[in-house]
Amino acid sequence: MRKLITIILFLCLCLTSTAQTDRTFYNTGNSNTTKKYVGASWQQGTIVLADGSELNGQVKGYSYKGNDINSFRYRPKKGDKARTIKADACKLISYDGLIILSLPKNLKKKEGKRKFYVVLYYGEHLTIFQNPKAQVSESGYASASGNSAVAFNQGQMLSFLAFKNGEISKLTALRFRKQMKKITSDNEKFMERTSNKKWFKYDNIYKIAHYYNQTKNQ
Amino acid sequence: MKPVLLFISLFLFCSLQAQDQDLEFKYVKTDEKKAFAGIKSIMNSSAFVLNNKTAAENYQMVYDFIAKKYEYPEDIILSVTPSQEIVIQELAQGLYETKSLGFTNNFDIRYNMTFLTLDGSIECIIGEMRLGNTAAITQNMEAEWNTLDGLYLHRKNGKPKKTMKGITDLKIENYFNSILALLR
Repeated sequence: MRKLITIILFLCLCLTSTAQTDRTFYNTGNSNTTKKYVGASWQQGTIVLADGSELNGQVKGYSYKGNDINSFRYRPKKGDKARTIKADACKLISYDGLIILSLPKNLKKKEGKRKFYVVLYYGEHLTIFQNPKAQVSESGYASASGNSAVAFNQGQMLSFLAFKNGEISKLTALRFRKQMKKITSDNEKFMERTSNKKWFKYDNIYKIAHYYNQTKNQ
Repeated sequence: MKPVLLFISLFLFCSLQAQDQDLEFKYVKTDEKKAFAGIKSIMNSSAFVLNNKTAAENYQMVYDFIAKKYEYPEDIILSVTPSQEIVIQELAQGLYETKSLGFTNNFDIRYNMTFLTLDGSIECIIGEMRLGNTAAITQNMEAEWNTLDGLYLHRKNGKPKKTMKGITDLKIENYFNSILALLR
C-alpha cells in the first residue's frame, strides 16, 4: 500500500510540475510616444504582489494625484469585494495594454516609499517608462487669430526614463540618439543597427529598446 | 486490489496529460449569448504541427520561418527558450474583415503566438488577440486595442450574420492555418 501511495504522490508531483510555467510580462513595445493614462474602468489585468504571487482578475485605477496614479482597485470578478492595492504592496501591474511598475519615489534612493510608474516598454535588461516630470507637446502653434491650428505630434512625451542595471537615465527627444547610444554601447549588434537613422529615432523608442534587449546576449 | 488502484491512478494520470491535438484553427459556436451582439463563436487557441523532427530541429524551423518573414526577427520576438519555445507578437493588417451593404471594412489584429517546439511536434498557441479600433482613433492618430476573445457570427435567434459568417471567421482561420501550413 505504501508503494502505491508513493506512486500516486509521484504522479501528482509530475502533474503539478508540468502545470507551472514561468510567466514574464516583457513586451515588444508596439506603442507610440504619446502620454498614456491609467483609466478608472474595470479591465482584465494582473497584479504581481511584492512577494511574487499573482492576482488575476479585474483591475482599475482608483486614486490619482494629478494625472499620476496613486492606487489601484482589484477584484477577482464582477460582484466580488474589491481591495485597494498601493505601490508598496506590489511589484508590477499589467492592465489595459500598459505595464505599471512600482519603483522608489525618489529614483536615486532605492529604499523608502514607492510609487507607480507607467511603463510602455518592459524588458529584461532595459526598460523605458514615462517621466512624471516630462513635458508633453501641445497642439501646434498659436496663430495670429489665436487659434492653435496645426497639430504636430500632439500629446507626445518629450522625455522618457530608461532603467538599466538599477540605474535611471533620462532620454530626451532633442538628444535621443546620443543619450541612447551612451547607455547601449555594450551591445555590438545593436550598435550596428543604430546607423539606420530611419529606425534609430525618438518616435521608435520602445522598439529600439526591445531590439536592444533581444540582442543583448547574442 | 493493488493492481486495480494502480491501474486507476495510471489511467487518471494519462487522461489528465492527454490533450486534444487540433491540427487546424477553427471557429466553433458556443452557447454564450450577448444582447445585441448575438451568439459567440470561439477559435481553439492551440493547434499542432506534427512531424518527425527533434525539438531542436523544430525550434530552428520556427526561427527560420520568422527570419524569412522579417529582416530583424528580434523586433517581433518576445522571448525565446532555445530548443523549447519562441513567443512572438505580430500585427496582421486588415485581418478582421466585415462586409456590409457592399462595403468592406478591415481592422488590424495584434496577437501573441507561442511556438512550443517538442520532439515530433510544434504547438502553436494564440494568446492575447486584440482588435485595433481605427474608428475610435484619437486625436493623436492612435488606434484603440480591444481584447478579441471571440466573434459574434450568429444572431441571438441562431441565424448567421451575413456581414461576418464565412467572411471574418474564414479570413482569420485561413491566416493562422497558413502559418501551420508553412511549418509543415
